[in-house]
Amino acid sequence: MLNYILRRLLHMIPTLIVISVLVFVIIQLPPGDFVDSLEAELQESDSVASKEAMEQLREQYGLDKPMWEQYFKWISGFVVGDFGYSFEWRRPVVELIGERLALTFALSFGSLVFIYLIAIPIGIYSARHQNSMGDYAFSSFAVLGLCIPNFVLALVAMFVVVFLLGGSAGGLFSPEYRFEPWSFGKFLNMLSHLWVPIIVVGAAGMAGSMRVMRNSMLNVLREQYITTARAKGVSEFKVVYKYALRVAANPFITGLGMQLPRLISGSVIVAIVLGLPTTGPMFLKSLQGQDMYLAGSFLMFLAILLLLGNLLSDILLAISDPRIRLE
Amino acid sequence: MSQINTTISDSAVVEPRVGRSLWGDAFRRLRRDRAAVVCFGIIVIYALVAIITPFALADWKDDVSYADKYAAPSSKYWLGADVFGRSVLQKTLIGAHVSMSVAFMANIIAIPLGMLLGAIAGYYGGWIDDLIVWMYTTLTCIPGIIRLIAIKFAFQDKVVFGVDLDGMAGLYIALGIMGWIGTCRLVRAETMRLRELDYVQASRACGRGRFSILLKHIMPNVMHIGIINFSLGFVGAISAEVILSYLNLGVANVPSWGKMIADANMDLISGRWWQLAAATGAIFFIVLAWNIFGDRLRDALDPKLKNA
Repeated sequence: MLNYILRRLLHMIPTLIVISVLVFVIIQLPPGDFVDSLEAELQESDSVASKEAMEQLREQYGLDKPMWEQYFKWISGFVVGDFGYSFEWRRPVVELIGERLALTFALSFGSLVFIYLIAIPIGIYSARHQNSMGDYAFSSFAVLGLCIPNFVLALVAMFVVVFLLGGSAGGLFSPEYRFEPWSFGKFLNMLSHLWVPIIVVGAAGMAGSMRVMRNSMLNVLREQYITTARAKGVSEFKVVYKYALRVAANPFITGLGMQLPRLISGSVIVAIVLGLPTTGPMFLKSLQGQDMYLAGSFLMFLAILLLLGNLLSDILLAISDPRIRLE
Repeated sequence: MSQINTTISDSAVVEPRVGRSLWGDAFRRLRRDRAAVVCFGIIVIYALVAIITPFALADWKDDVSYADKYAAPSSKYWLGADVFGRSVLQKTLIGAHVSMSVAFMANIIAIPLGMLLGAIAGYYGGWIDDLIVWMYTTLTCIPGIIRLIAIKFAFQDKVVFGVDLDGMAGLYIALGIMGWIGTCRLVRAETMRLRELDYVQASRACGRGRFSILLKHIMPNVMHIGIINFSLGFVGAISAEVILSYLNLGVANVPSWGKMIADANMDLISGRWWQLAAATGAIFFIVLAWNIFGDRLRDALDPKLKNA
């Protein structure tokens, strides 16, 4: 097992190298560089920037160098933990993204748990009461959830929370905690804000997961070993939750690899709508402002997060299903 | 397995199959399926709207009338008016044109690309397979919508071979080159299965070239995957277009559902719900219709999958 994990980790390295090149090229493709967009911004606010000052800035940031040289500067720093410097925020990237990535992860993971907590019991119920009223009600509800885009749901949720419940939906912290260092109180405060985006992000993945659980359970319940167990007189509870669920949950674990990118995409969009201090809004802004090290580091970290998520789902699968033990 | 056997024997009892094609069978199943027919009807309506609007509403911009600013739904404006006094109904109809044509073109690019790459990877195997698989696993390392956002930024102010990548064409291409992966995966797996079947081996033994086998024997047998993915891909493409135009990365100067939602962002607070509702409703019905139709289409074309 350890051998397998190590091999998978090693396989990630060439993939990450290619991704880093791809990311860098994509970020460099928009016309102009950060200094150009800064210049445009200055002109809009009627201040004049001298040509020399701009050239000096470009030189200071290394933007006058050829692209490959800039790439090597960035990537050689990246592997030792120096992710570059954000032009826009005038701070090292590492200071900016750490907390935001953690919050993105918390949001995605929270949505995943939320989806599983709701979808698995409903899926089991639907499978055991196939074609009942409850089954139809749940699947129609799921399809409805599937058809409203994530961010519209976020808008409506924001409206409901702010105007009907009198809460605050923007951000993840109450004002008094916003700039405080982390503490238990701040953590609780975050949890009290996090449930709105978690539900919104989770709603989109719910329908698919419910259906997967339902179909997989239906198939397993038709297997002969289930009939045998019932014939032996094993209690129905044990048949479903001990014998069937263990096999029926497998597609869920394989689906984790598919679910993760969807959750991250969803959380990015929802975060932009709700103005959450996660990666979404800052990533969009960094792309707009050609803040290339910041944007690049975000993309790299999301890629790493995803690769690790896939690895985790493969490991979980190997643990839960002895048939798939890899040599 | 017993499940598959029963479905086959059931249908054999009901209708003896004499010389019917896969497509004929699928069509018959679909036509008998009321939900599929209704959903197909909705899709046809949207498609007609998408085709007619550009001609019917070619001069929509001239309609600006500040007197009607934020007019509520009435007999003059069935769905109300926006901040410039423009008819929300007209904007919604034009939005249908944008969404449908973007989704259609994106899939026209994505599905054949995915099918071709998938079939080549699955049939040739070896380093070609490795290369294609590696290509899409690498691409999928960056979550879909984030990839799209990055690509759209990269397309800014770019004109390649006379194609303006900032306009509609850019959206087609951005969505197209992102949408082939799912199809490619499925087609590749199916091709690997088909490759070992006797009729393919026999054709090979008769001396038919590999590429010719690919076109003649493999492609027709993975066609249904392409068609299913075409309909399911529509949903993804429509949602992606809405998100992009919501973020103001879509088509400039043309109303679209995403932009309407972005405009209506603040309207909701002051009780002007109609623009948001119109756009959301328009998205809702087409996505619902494609979702259900896609599912039914899959059941019809691939009955074995029905409960898998």
